[in-house]
Amino acid sequence: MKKAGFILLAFYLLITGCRQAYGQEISDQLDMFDFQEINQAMNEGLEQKIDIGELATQAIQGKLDLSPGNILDSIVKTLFKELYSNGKLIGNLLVVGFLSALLKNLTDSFKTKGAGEVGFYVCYIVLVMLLFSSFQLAVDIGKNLISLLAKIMAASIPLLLGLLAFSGNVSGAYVLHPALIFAVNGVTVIIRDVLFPLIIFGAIIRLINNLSDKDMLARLADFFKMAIGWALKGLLFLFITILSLQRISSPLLNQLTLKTAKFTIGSIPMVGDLLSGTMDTVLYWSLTIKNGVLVASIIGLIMVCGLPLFKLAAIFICFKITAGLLQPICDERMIKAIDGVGDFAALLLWATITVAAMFLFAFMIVLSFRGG
Amino acid sequence: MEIMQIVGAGLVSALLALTLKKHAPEFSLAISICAGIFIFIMLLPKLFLALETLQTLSDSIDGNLTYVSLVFKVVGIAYISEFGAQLCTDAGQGAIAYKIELAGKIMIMVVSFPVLFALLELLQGMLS
Repeated sequence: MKKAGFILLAFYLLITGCRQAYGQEISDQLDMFDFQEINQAMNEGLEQKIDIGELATQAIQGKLDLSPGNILDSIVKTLFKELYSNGKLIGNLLVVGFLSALLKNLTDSFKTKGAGEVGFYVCYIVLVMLLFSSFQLAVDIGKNLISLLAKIMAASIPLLLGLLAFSGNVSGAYVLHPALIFAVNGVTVIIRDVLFPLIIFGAIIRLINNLSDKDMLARLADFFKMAIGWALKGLLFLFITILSLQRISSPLLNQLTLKTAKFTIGSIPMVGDLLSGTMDTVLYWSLTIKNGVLVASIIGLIMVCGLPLFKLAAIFICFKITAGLLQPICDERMIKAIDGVGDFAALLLWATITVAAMFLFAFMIVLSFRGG
Repeated sequence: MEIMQIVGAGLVSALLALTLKKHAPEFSLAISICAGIFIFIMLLPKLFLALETLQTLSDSIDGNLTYVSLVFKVVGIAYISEFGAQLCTDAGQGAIAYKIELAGKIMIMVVSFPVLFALLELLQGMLS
């Protein structure tokens, strides 16, 4: 026991001692990088300002407070807050549903079918307006988040590649640069300017389909839904493939460059050995820094994505809840309309999550490149 | 209990009409028409109450419910045309009853055009 305690104490002292030295060294090295741009881009979407450089230092020194309880707590709180703020939408939709049910009751007592239809149309107008205004809100949230993420990515590419080159992966930085820019820009443009309008279009087709009793455009709407789903999957696959391929191919090149460098330095008479040793140390330092920045930027990305994603999720859940609540009393077509728009809101959420995940992967893949 | 009054009046007039039918058929017809009008008038306040409730309900929504008054119009047309058609059927004039119903249908269709167009315009606006 005593022995174990002693060893532990020794370890502790060693680690804390190291940490102190670490801290100084690391903040010196971190100062070499410019976090200004990425901070600016990230703080655009955040109420609570963050500093990637500081976060990275904290992460390296192990001072980051990441208790699961805290995180879970804030997640649940945010979700319920968003759901609550959407309560008015649920209320309005419910009242429209009730109104249409009452009108249906009133007009069903007449022989003339047209009377009931007019009541339905009147309620449907209001329903469409309500649904679409919140759907538009969801689209805007998604678009803004994607633009913001693209901006963050664009701002952080120089930093990422600088870190990469700094940690000895010079060729990796060269190889990745065009691929990264292409992948990030391409995916952003495709999702924001092609898939989002398609999602809106699909939702409107759903709404038009429910104007009459018969399923006239249901298949078209389903096709849109399926196509968008596959497109998202395909994009994700493509993105990961591009980055992974680069990742596979570049270490070979890299090893070569690094070996040559080491060999050249090592071959300098007298001081050569020492110098190549120093080079190794510098490489390890920079690896640590790189990992710290990785953790910090992932935390930053998650913070940026968190609120908008929760908002989208809340809108989607609202649609589904309302459809469920109205089912016993309402016209089948109204339920279908709410449910259909809910489906497309889910697609919207999914598309946004896909983009966020892609950027997260991009960060991870780039920063997990191993130097030499 | 208005329902008692309505049912009572209906039964009494039905008996009266039945007894008068053999001796003076035209009077029996007049009685049945009178009974119909009486029931119609008795029902009117209730109908207005229902419409009023709908109006208050629709006022509680933020959305644009200007077209709810149109529903009331449609309900009114349907109610009156159906009433007239039934009176004509009572009088044994099925052909006229059918024509009244047709007129009611067409009227409802014409009245409901604005709302249909508004809906289509809304959807069109979203697409662009």
